[in-house]
Amino acid sequence: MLRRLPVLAGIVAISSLGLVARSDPPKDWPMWGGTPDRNLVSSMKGLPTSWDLKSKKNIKWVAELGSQAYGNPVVSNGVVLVGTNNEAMKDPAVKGDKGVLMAFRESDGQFLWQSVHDKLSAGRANDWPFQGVCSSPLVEDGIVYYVSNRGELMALDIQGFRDNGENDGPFKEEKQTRETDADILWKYDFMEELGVLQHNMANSSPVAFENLIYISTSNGQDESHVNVPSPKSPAIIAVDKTTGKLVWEDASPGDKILHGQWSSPAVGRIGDTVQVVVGQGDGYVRSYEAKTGKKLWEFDLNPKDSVWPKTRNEVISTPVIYENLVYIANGQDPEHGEGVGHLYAIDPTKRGDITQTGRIWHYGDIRRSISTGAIYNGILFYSDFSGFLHAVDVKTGKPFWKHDMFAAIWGSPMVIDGKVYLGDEDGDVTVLNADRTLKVIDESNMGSSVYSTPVPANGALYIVNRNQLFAIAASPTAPAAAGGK
Amino acid sequence: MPRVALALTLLLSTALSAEAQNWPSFRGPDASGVASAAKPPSTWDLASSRNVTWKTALPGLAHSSPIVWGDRIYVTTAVAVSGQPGVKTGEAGIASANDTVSHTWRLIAIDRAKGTIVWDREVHKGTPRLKRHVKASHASATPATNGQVIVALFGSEGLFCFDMAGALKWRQDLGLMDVGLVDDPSYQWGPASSPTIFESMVIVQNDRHKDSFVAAFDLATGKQLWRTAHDEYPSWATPAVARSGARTEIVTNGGKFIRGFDPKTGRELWRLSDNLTQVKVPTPIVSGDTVIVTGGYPSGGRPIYAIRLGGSGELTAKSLAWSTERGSPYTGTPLLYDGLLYVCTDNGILSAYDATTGGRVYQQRVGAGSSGFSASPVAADGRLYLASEDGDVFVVRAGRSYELLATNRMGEVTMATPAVSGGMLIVRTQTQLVGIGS
Repeated sequence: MLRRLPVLAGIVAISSLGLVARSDPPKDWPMWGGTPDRNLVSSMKGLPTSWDLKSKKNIKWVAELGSQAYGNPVVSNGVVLVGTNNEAMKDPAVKGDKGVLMAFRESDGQFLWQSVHDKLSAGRANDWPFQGVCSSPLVEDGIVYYVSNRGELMALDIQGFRDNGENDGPFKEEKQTRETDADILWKYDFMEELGVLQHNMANSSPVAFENLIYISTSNGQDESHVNVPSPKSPAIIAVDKTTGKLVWEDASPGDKILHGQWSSPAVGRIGDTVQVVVGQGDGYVRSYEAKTGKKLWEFDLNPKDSVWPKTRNEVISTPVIYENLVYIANGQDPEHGEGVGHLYAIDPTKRGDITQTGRIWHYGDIRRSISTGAIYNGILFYSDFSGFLHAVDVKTGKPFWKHDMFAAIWGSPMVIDGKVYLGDEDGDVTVLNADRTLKVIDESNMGSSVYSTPVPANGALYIVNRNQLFAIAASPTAPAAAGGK
Repeated sequence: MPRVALALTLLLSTALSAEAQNWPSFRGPDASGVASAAKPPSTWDLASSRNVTWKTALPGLAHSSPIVWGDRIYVTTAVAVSGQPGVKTGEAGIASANDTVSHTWRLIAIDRAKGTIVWDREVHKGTPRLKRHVKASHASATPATNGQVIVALFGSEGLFCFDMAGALKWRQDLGLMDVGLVDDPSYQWGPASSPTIFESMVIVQNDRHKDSFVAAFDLATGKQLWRTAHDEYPSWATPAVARSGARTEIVTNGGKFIRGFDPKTGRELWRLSDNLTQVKVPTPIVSGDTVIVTGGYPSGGRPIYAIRLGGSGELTAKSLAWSTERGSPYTGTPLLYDGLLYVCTDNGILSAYDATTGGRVYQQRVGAGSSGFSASPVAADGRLYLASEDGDVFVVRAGRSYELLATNRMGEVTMATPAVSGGMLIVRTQTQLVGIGS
C-alpha cells in the first residue's frame, strides 16, 4: 500500500526549493544530488573519513551488484536503490543481460526486490551491453521514479510487493508479483511515445517540482555519429506524477546534437520563477519554466571557435542551482578521453540567449568534466575527467587550489560536514578539507573503480564500486588494533 | 700501446658501436626498450633542424616502429592507392574504419646516416581483408631482424620474411587476424602483435575472436615448427623471450591467461589466470628472474604482475614476486631501466616502481593536456623518452625522483614507439621518419 501524504510531500518539496530555511536537512538521500538544486552538500555528522575493506573497519554492510554499476545510490523509506546489470542473477530464472534496479534494506543490506528490463534489440546504438540501469532514482511519497535502459520513465512502489502483495497503481501487467519483484505503478515509454532514440543509453536522473517529473531523454545521434535520426524528439520532458502522462516537452537542440544527451535536470526557485535547468546535446544549458515548459534562457558552454570533438564539448554534468546562480561545466563521453573543459557561473535571471549577458564568470583551467559541483562555505568544488579536483571561489571563479587524484573521475565531489569525499577510477575515495587551503585527510580504496558519488543518508555513507554497494558507518567496535591502512 | 691491445680495443669499440646501433625489433634489443650504449640528444628543434640529422617523408599510414640494423633502418607501411586514411587520437571509442580501397603493404629500407630511401618493396597488394579501429593502422606490427633476415607481419595479409636486401624469402598466411571488441566479434580493430625472433625461428601470437594460437616458423624456410591452439580473447601484445636459468620461455599476455611456452615445442609450460581484465596490449617485460606483465580493460583495475619465471601448470599468487591491483597502462609497454619500472598510462601519468619490490617510487603527470600516449617509452644514456600522440617527445631523467628535462615537438601525430641507435633517436610521425642526432 502506498502512503499518500500529498500535503507533507508538498512541504518537503517547498523546503528543498529554499522557501523554508533548511536548518535540518533531510536525513534520507532521496534523489541524485540530494535535493532538486543538486548541490552535493550535507551537514550530516559522524561519518567516517576512512574505512578498510579487508579488516571491515567501518564497513556496515556490503551488497553484491551486477558486474557493472554506473548509477548513484539513493536512500529513502529504509531502502537503498541502485541501478546495475543482471550479472548478479538475483533471480536465477532471469538470464542474460538486463537493466536492473535493485532495492536493498537500509539497515542491513538485505536484498529486497529488483526491477528488470530487457535490453533493446537495437543493441549498442540505444542500449549499451552490460551497462544496466544508469539513472539514479527519485523517491517521493514512497514512489520510485527512474529511467530504464529502454527509454522509459518508471514509477514503482518502493515497498514492492512486500505490502501484502498489493499491486498498486494502474499498471497490472507485472509478470511476477513475488516479494522480490517490482511493483510498477505506471511507465511512460518515451521512445515509443515521442520517437526518442537515445544514443547508447538513456540515463537521466529524474527531479520533481509539485506534480511534475522532469527528465532528459538522452535523444542523440545514431551509430554513424553524424546523423540525428529524431531531431524533433524532445531533449527534455515533464510528466505528470500521478497519471504518467506527458505535460510538456522541448526539442531545442534539434539536429545540432553533437553526440548524446546525458545531463540530468536540476530545479530551483530563482526570484519568483521555478526553473528547470539542464545541459543539452548541442553544448548548451537551457532553462524552462517548471510548470509550463516555456524556455527562459540558453547559454552556450563552448567558445564560439571551438570544434567538435577536439575542443567543442557536450554536457554530461548536472547543473547546480545555488543562491540564484547556476554552476555547470562541460565535457565529453568518457570514451572520448580527456580534453579542454569549461566551468561557468551563470545568471539565470536573464532571458533569451544569455551566453554573454548571463556569464558571471568562467573558469578555464578545468579539463573535460562529467561531474557535478558542490558548493560549500563560499567554495565551489568541481572535479574533471582528467583526475583533478578544483576548489574555486564561488563568487569570482578564482582558484583556491587543485588536487590531482591521478585517475579519471566519473563521480562528483560530495561535501559532508565540511569535508569533501571524492572517488576515482582507481577505486580510491579521497577525503579532503572543504576549505580554502588544500588538505587531504584520508584515502581509502574500494577494491575496484568508483564511478559513483559517495552519498550520505541517516548516519551512513553509501559508495558503489564497479559491482558492489557499501554502507560505511563509524563503528565503535572497529578492531582498531587489527585495522590500520 | 701494444698492438694486440690496440686491436682488441678497436674490436671492442666496433662491437660496442654495432651493438649500440642495432635496434632489431619492437622496443629494440631483447625487446627491452633500452639502448644501453646509445647517446641520443635530449633536445632538438625541427624548425631550425637543431640536432635533426634528416627528415624523410614516408607513404601510407602505419604505427609500426622503425628497426635498425647496421647502417639501415627498416620500416613497414600500408599505402592506400587513393586518399590518405585518417587516424583518431585519444580515447577513440570502438568504431572501425572501413578502408575499401586497395592498399599496398611495403617494406622500406632507409640509409641511417642520410635518411634516404635505399629501396622500397611492395610486398602485397589488395583491399584490406579486415577493417581497422579508427585509431589503428593496417601496418601496426613492428618488423624484426637478426641481421640475416627481416620478418614483417602484415596481419591478415600474412607473415613475410625477406633477406636484408628486401628479397622475399617466404610468406605464410596466418589466416584472418580478426581482433576487436571482446564481447562482440562484429567489431574489427586490426592486430598489432609483432613477430618475435628467437634463435632460428620467429614466433607469432594470433589471439583473435576465435581459434587463437601461438606459432613458430623456421626463419630459413618458413616451415611451421609448431602451433599451439588456445582459448583466448583478442589481444594485441607481442610475445616475449624470457630466460630463467637454463630454461627459455616464450611469454604471452592474453586476456584470459598470461602464459609461458617452451619455444622448442610450443608446449604450454604455465599459465596465470587474469580474470580482472580482458584486453591486453603491452608486451611482457623480463626483469631478472621475473616477467612483468601489464595492461587490460576496463581501465580502473589494471594490475601489474611480476611473475617468477620457471613455473609450471596453473600459477597462483605464490608465483608472484609482487603485484599491484591497478596502475597498468592500456596501450604502451612499460620500461625497465636501472632497477626501476617506469609505467606511463595512456593519459600520461608516469609512475616509477622498484622493480624488485613493486613499491611505487613516484607518480607524476607528463604532458598534462596531451591527447594520449600510445608509443612505449624508451631509454638511453640515463634518460627516458616518452612520445605522446600529439607528437611531443618528453625527456625525463631516469632515477628515483622525477625531473622533466625537455619537451620536443614533432609537430604531428606520433603513434609509433621510437627507435634508439647510437647517437640517434629515430621517431616515426604520421607522415615522416625523423633522424634526431648531432
